Amino acid sequence: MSYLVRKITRGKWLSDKTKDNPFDISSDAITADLRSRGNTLSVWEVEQEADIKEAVIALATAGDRLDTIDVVWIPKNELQEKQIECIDTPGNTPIKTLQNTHIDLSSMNYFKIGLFAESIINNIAAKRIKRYSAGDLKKLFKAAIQDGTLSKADLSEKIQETLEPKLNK
Amino acid sequence: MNNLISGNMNLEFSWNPHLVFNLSKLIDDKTTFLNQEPTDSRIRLDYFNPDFLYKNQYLTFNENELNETRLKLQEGFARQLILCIKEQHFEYGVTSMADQLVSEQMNINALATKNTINKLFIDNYNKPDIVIGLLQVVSRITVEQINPEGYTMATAAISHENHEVKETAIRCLENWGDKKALEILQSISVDIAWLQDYVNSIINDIQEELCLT
Repeated sequence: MSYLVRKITRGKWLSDKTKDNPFDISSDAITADLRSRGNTLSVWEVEQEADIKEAVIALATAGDRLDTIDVVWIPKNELQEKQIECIDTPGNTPIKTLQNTHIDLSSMNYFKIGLFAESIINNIAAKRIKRYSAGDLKKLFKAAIQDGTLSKADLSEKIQETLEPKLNK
Repeated sequence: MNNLISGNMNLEFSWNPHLVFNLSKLIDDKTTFLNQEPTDSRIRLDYFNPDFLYKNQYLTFNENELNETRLKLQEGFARQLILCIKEQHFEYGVTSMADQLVSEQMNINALATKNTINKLFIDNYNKPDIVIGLLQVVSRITVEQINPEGYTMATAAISHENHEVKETAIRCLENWGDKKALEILQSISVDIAWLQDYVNSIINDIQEELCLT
C-alpha cells in the first residue's frame, strides 16, 4: 500500500476539537496548508512507511532554506476512495530518482478539500505524522550528498550554509 | 532625508536656520574639523546632518534626536511589515516576502529595525497571527544580528497562551542554535507533549552541533 506525503503546520491541526469533528478544523489550517494552485495540491508518494524520509528530502529540497517541518502521510487508496484524482507529475526536486514520485491531487474543489482535510486529521490521529527538525533534515541531506543522490551545488546558498558545521558559539 | 540619515554628505542644510545663521563659521570650522580624527561625538560623514546641534566650534549631535528621526523613518517599514505578514502565504522551508523586507531594512539600519520589530511584538502581543509572523521573521535573522532583542522576544513568546506562538518561539531558538539558546531551552518546560518532545530534540541537536555531548 502506498502513501501520499504532505507538509503541514502541525500547530494548526492539533486541536482537541478536531479529533471528533472535521468541521471544527480551523480555517487557518485549510487556507495555510491546503492552498491549491490551479485546483491542485502537491503530494509525494512513497511505497511504504519506511520510505517517508524520501518524500521528506524531496519536499525539503524544493525549498530554499532548512526549517523544521511536519509531514503527514495518508494511504493513497483512502484518497482514491474519496474520488480524489491522483495524477503523476514531475516533482520539483534536484534528486532525479525522486522526481517521478510526485503527484498532483487534481480537480480539487470545496468538497474535496474538505475530504482531504478530514483524511489529514484521521491520519494524524492514527499517528501518521512526524516532525523532522532542521537537525534531522541536515542529516538526511548530508547522507544524500554522501551517497551521491544529491549534489550540494543543486541546493540553495542558504541550505548550503546551513550544512556547514557550526563552531562552538 | 534618507541620504542624511544613512550618512552621505548632503548640502541641503539651507533650510535649517541655525546652520544658515552660522554658515560662514561652519565653513571655517569644517576645515578644522575634517583635519581632526573623528571621535564618538563627532562623525565626519554626518557633518551636515541637520539634526546636529551646532555648539561652540564643534559640531556635536544629540543622540536621542538622531534616534527619534531614524525611528520615524521606520514607521513606514513597520506598516509594510504588518501588511506583509497579514497578506503573505508563509511556508516553512521557503523564504518569505517579510524575510526579504526585513533583510533589506536590517542592511540599512539594524539597530532601528530591531527596535521596530521589538515594538511591534509588544504592541501586538495579543494578536497571535502577527506575533507568529514576527517570530517567523526574527527566527530567520542570524543570531549575531538579532540578539539580544531576539532572545527577549522568544522568551516572552514561550509563555504565550497560544500553542503556535510557543512553537514559533521555540523554532527561533532552534534556528539560532547557540549556547544561549540552549540554556533557554534547557530551562523551559511546556505543557504540550509534542512540543516538549520538540524542545528535547532541539536540545539534543544543538548539543550535538556544538559538540557539547
